[in-house]
Amino acid sequence: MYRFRPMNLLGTALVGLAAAFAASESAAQERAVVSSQVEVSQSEASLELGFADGELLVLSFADGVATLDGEVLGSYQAGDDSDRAWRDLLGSILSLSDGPLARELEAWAPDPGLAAPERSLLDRIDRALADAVAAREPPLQTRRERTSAQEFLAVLARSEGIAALGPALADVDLESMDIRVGEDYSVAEGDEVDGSVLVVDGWLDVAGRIRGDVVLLDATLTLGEPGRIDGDVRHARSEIERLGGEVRGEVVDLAESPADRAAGTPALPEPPSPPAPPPVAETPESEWEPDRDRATPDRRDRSEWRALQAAGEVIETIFTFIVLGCLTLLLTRFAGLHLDTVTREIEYRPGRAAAVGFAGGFLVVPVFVIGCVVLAISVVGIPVLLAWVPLYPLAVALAAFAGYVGVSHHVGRWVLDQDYSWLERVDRSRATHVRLTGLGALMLPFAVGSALGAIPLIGWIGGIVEVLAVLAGIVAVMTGFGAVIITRGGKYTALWPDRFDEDMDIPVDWSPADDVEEDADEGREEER
Amino acid sequence: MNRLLVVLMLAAGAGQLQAAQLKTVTWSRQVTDEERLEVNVSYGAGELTLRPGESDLLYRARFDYDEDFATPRADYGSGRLDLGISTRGNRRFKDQSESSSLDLWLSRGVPMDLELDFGAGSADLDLSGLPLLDLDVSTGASESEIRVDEVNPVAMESASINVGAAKLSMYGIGNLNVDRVTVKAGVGSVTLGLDGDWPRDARVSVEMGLGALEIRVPESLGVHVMRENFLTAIEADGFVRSGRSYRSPNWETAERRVEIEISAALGAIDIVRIP
Repeated sequence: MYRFRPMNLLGTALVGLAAAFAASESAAQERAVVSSQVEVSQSEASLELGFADGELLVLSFADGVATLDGEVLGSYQAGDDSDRAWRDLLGSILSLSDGPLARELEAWAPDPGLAAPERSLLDRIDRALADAVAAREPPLQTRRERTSAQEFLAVLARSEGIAALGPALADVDLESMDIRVGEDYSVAEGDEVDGSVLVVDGWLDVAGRIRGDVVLLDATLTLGEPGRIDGDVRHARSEIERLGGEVRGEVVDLAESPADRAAGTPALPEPPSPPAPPPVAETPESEWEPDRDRATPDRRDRSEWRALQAAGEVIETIFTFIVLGCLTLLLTRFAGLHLDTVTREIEYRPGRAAAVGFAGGFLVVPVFVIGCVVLAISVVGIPVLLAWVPLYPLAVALAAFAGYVGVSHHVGRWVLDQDYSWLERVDRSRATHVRLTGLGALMLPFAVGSALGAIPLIGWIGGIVEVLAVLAGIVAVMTGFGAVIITRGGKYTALWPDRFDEDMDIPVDWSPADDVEEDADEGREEER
Repeated sequence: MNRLLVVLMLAAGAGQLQAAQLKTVTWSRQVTDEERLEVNVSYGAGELTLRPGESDLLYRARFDYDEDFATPRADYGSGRLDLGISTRGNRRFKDQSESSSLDLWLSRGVPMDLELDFGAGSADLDLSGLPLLDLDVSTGASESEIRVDEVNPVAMESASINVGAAKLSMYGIGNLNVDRVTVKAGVGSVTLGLDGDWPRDARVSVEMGLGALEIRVPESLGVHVMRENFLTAIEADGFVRSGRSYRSPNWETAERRVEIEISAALGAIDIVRIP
């Protein structure tokens, strides 16, 4: 049973002070910050501090959740006061390091005029930063060592602190008291504290058992299931949030007058029944795992991601090759003669084909637009317009692809001329084999570039290889497109000299089907 | 089909910009017990700036990038710093350049080996006063300017500049405090300023494929140019020609002398005397 004894005020305060001094370390020093990382984007603003002792501190505002070393501190809305204040702080420390950085972080405090929810979150940030940059204490010998004399003196220096602390500490076993000043303390489920706990300027989360009293000054207690406090809860200017749990002793608000306390005013809210959904601050950590992962990405994962990305791009290139290869087979099967003519044009006059192709490429869009306009303004052209709009782009794409295949033929022939042993099985007398080889050669740089892109340091070479592959592709498409235009879609060969057919080494047997070969021969006879 | 689409879209002059998700990340680290630093920067596209920082600051790197497209990295350990950015997707270099930048500050107080690889984009490198033990710069397709306004406080054995298809301007080579400088350029325009303090004599080797080379030589510096070229025109007003070599009039009397070897395939070489 708690009894208010004002006469003991000074004595108990001095005892507490003595206890704090007895176990305190030397005066606090500034902790060396050796590295920092600041990330700012629309959805995230985070700070990672590395200390000389190897420890890290990660504070992150990401996707509406503020975390400290992965632990959820609370929630915020993008652009609200807490978000803005946090981003302002990060902006102010961007150019700072070590001492100035530590001092800036330690000196930072949230605007006292902020609304309660934002202020509460920022207070936690403030405490975390102040705790992080303050000198690190040696390994715990006794629980009292957690509190520095400097901090305790700071509390006692406030007259109202002394006034509240005095009665609060009456009858409390100071020898076993765990004193926390300016820091958060959590008694997790299954943990037990064999004594009393004093929290000043901090948060106390209890889900385990405290076998003594709890004294709160300017603090917040969260008591959840299956938390249990065997003694009293004595608090001044503090908040108590009860989500469950049990207090076996009394709950005393020291700010109330003795008369109020005598009237038995309940100071501890009953736990909600049924339990209300916990606020974001109490959200189980597991629910926030993905966010935490995003906040502190693992570098090994990045490397693996790069490798996977490269593998995906290589597979994509292979798939593209398969699709284009099938189209090549179809084109060869159903328009072999025309393709043959285009191929010959490219070989005989590649420069002209390229020039015409690039000129044609630039005219593609204007011709389409002019065609649309002309057809639209002429009454009779309107029905044609309906066909013009879809068929013109289709025809251009088909012409470009046919030209690309024509160029592939020459590329394939050049590759086969190199007599690579691993290409021995390719039948150079069959046009489809030659064209697929050429197609593969044109696609290969994309795969090589993707693979190189995943290799650290030389990844830029992969980018250059891919650029060159794109340029080669453009030249191939334009040259082939020009050949298609010159030959009117592979029908017109009159400008070739007579010797051309004799000198050409394009395999006559380019079609996979014998009947198509016969068709091709017949076609040549007709052209002659 | 993306590859073919990219080719066709580029050919038709089409293309769409993806909405950028811009992000900024800043890394910094203090000097602790480092006696030597090895710096490797691999930067694909965008703007790269490098400046000398404070002595007690080991490095500070600030990346601005599109997080949907790129992931920066800053790995430090055992005196080695790896900085870079990994890209993904098929966005064009122009788009990357518009949304990416890396600002880097390096310590004036820790001797370092500096290796820079950057691709498309632009680079502004101020190496003034940096204690460089080794310098290796490779650039793909970019516009780069390298300045050395203050002399390197430590002696450097060699510096290597490799340029792909790019425009490179380098000023204050005399402040590099180096025995040998090698510049290899593929296609592009290269300007080399031999100004600076020249703490010792040195050799400069230039290999060029196709492009224009301008060498700016201070009047106080003794210079001997030896060239091997195929289809290259050389302008060297004020120099004494002897076969394939050119000498400055003060070659015998100059306090510091620099020998320059030029090997060029096709292009123009202009050697200019500056006050």
